[in-house]
Amino acid sequence: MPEGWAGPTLAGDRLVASIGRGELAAVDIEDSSGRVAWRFPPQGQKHPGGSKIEPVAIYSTPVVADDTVFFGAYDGWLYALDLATGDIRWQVDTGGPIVGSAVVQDGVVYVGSDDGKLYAFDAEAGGLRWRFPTGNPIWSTPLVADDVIYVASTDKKVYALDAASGAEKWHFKAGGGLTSTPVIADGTLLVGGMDRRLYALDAASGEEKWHFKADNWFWTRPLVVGDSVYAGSLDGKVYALHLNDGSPKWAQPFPTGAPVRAAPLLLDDVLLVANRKGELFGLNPEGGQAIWGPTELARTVLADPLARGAMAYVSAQGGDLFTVNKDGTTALLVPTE
Amino acid sequence: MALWDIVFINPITNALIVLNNIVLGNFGVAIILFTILMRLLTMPLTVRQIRSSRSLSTLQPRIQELQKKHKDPKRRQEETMKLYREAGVNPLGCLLPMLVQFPIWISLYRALRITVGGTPESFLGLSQRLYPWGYIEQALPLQNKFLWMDLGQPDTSLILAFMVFASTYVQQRLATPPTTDPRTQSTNQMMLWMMPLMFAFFTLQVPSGLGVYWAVSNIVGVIMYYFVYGPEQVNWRTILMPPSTAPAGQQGSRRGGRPPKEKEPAQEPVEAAMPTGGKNKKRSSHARSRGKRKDRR
Repeated sequence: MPEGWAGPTLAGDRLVASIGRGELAAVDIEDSSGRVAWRFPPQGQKHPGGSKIEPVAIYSTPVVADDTVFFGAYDGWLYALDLATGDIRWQVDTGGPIVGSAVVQDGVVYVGSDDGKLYAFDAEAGGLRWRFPTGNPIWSTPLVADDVIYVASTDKKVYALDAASGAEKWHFKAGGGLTSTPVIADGTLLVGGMDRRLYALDAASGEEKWHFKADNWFWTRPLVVGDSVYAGSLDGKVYALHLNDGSPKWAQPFPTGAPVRAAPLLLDDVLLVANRKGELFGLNPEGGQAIWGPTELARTVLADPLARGAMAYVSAQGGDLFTVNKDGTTALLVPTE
Repeated sequence: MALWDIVFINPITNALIVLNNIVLGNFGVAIILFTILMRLLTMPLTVRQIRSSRSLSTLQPRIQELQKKHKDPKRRQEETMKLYREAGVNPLGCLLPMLVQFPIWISLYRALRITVGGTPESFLGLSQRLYPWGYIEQALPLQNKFLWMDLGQPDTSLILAFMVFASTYVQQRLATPPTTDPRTQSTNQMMLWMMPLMFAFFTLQVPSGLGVYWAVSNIVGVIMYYFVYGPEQVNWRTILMPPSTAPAGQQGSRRGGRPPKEKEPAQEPVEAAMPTGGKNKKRSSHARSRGKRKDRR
């Protein structure tokens, strides 16, 4: 049964997060009350064909642009909601479960689907601009930079497409399916795969610069800070590498004791890492030593945390939403209902 | 990770993926091939189980006779065990092979759930069970499409559920030992329908890869029965006819077919071991003729 692992997103004083299986909510955080402003799916609203809205599970971290919340659900629909009320502005079926998040750029929403296609929709009305087929389901979030959209697919390829037309510029074939969300820094595209490798590619040509091999898959979105790359692996370790050549930055990777799916996050000078068991660690980003931790949330954590100054929001699977301070103290903001 | 996972589930999971590569990435074919291989590997045990169960069923009329004759439970048990000994039948003979196979089937079921789960969570779980071999990594993600099915999702077309129902019924029909006890007959009759219905219902709930496994496993099981019993005993008539009270070996002779070769060794030692007194012999033949009269009715 899919559970979902959507991370939270911030829009002013409103946090939009998944607070239960297949449920999304807008939470007011101004007064730390955790008051729920609206919930999705809304009562009484249906799909255009008249069928009931049943998101099943939400893996897609919501994204907010122009007072509209965009997210995909496991039922295959991409939803655009009014940030203030939660009302559906438009909805469109992609033909397969949506696992990655949507990206909004210049009035276009890009989202990958389990049907193997990358879709570009008009953000205003949901009209289809173009779609690009890959050979297998897309479970990662696309990345837009300089009018180029990069998408990693489980067909083992990462594609660079023209953001306006969807025309392919280049593709790179890895040794295994690609589920991690790519990031770009200094003209280098970083993407991890099921072949246990983290690849660094030339963003302009798709040529491989280097790769680093771990003991299990890379499913996290890497974090780039200056010339350092931080990435967690399903082998339970967090790796720090040099961006230019992929050589290890730390004397040894940091072992968390459980698979790491959630992306690492920098809270000032503390690298926040969460493993699947819900154990949080605060690491020294320079040397990789633990400053604090493990702090146990006693919940499964697979979603990417969200930074807000020296604090982070962490969504646990099932819906509990926690706040984590850079000193390791935690609080439950919204409990599962 | 538990020892059970390391010894059973993980090797089976990885073997399934290796087979998937061998059959050029068709996971449905890999499941079918794996099920057949597993059933072939455990075939000696299955055949032993079938034979033991059948030998036991031929003794049923005599066991019932002993039960009527001896009211004292201790004496009754002693006499029953004596009968087993004389007939060269081990009452646990049909249970032990089944117990040995049980961990394999449970592990296969679990391995299939892990590999065809289809959800991101199950995929994440799969990552913890794979051997770090490039040959296995390159197979992922598995192609879950097979014929009209998505192996990671339940098949709602009812076709697979019907196949599972029909194959479970046939196998159940062949595996149910005939009995003369009315209570057992009633239970058997109920189970004959309940089990296929239950499995057909499960098929509609679980990933269709598991349904494929159940259907293929049943079909291979039926083929094994065919080879053990022979065409006289395993044919459309025996499958479609309502279950008889007589042992499988007696059905053939009643319908004019050849008595199966298997039956004779099981009965002859009993006859030979009986006391030579004509009284016992008479009672035995009388009991048999009573059984025949009952069948005719």
